[in-house]
Amino acid sequence: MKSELIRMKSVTQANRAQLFLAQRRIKASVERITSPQGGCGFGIRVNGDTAKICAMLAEINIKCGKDGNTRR
Amino acid sequence: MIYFDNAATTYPKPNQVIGSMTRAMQIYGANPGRAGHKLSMETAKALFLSRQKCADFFHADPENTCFTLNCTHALNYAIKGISHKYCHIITSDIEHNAVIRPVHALTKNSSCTYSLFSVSKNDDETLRNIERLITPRTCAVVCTAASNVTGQLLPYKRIGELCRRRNLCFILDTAQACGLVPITLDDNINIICAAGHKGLYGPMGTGIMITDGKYPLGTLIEGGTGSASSDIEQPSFLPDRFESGTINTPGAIALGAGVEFVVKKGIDKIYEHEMKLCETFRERLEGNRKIILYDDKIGENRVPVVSFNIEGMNSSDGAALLSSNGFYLRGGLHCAFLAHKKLGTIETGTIRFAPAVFNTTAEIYEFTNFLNKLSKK
Repeated sequence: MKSELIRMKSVTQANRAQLFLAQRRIKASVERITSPQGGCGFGIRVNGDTAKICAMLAEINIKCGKDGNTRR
Repeated sequence: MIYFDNAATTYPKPNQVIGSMTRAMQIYGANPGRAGHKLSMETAKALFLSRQKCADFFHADPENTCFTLNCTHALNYAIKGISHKYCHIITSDIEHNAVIRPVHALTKNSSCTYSLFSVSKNDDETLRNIERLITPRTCAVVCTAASNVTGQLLPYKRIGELCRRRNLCFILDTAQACGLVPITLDDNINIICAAGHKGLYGPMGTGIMITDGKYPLGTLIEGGTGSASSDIEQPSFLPDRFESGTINTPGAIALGAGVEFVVKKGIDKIYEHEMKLCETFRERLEGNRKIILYDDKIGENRVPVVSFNIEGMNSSDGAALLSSNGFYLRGGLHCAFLAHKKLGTIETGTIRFAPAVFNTTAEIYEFTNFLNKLSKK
């Protein structure tokens, strides 16, 4: 399964997302991102169903999509 | 040396805090939230775990938990961040300068105004005093949870309830109360400002601003955050909005250890221990006519701080005499001239006895023996 990078608002949010997912036995790593759209920032790299992971993150008010880009 | 100046900053710090700070300097040496290399990521993780501990302590979201330099810094963010043109702020007549100065400063450069409510011995009366000051322009109530001069605890839960009912932002200065009283966002507080280096036993140079996210705040300082870097605007999201520039990372990590220390020890137990020390202090000075206590001027709910004076001496001379005999207490106005005006001690100030978790009954005996001997001279 290909890994995907989900953009987070901040390194704090990325660490929070990682901890939340780890508690649910989903492995995620925090990565630095630089993109022309958002400039510098942070994301989490995950293996698995991104839509499902984003739905889980929504439980703790972390949004993927508009606020966070998803990319390979 | 016996240290009773813990209302200024607690000393000594727990070994866990010293160890954590040292480890942070040794291990987490990179800038968190800036680079993508391993050391920066590990530092960011350590910082996050500390942030999480602080957030849990105040029942907050870690993203709404911002590290600041101290409580004054947090209060300036909150007070100046919430104010807008024509904003009316209500604050108390016993505030520390950390509150009254930024509130007063707002009136100089804008159309903001403020009113002072009188803190009474009776909580019902205090509430009525606040309510009668509310106008259609009132945007916030900001006050201390506990006086740093007398230790009087304000009815902050009831003030929070009143603010919620009247749709006002409630900002609470918990510098003298956090770590002793279980204050959380659940008490209808919108913004909690805390000192990291007092009742939370963190290092000096640490503080926290915690919000419930209900009221958007303007910024005082803008700059690099390591996020949204291509945008000229300051990020709107927390904590980055209020953490521009490199933060005191070892201090913030050690603050987490301080919070952990308080949680393990138990707030109730710490409070009970320090109140017992204050009780012993008062009891052993009973009948000493040369020691003036000011306890009768405040209500029953309080934190462990006792103001006193030695008859015939102003507080600075009194504190200097104590210092030369190995007892470290603070004399003067304690940066709270309003409280001293109210107490009637604006001319002399007071000497402040403020024990902490590491003080012992034996130390109180030694101190009160000295005061009692001194009075017999």
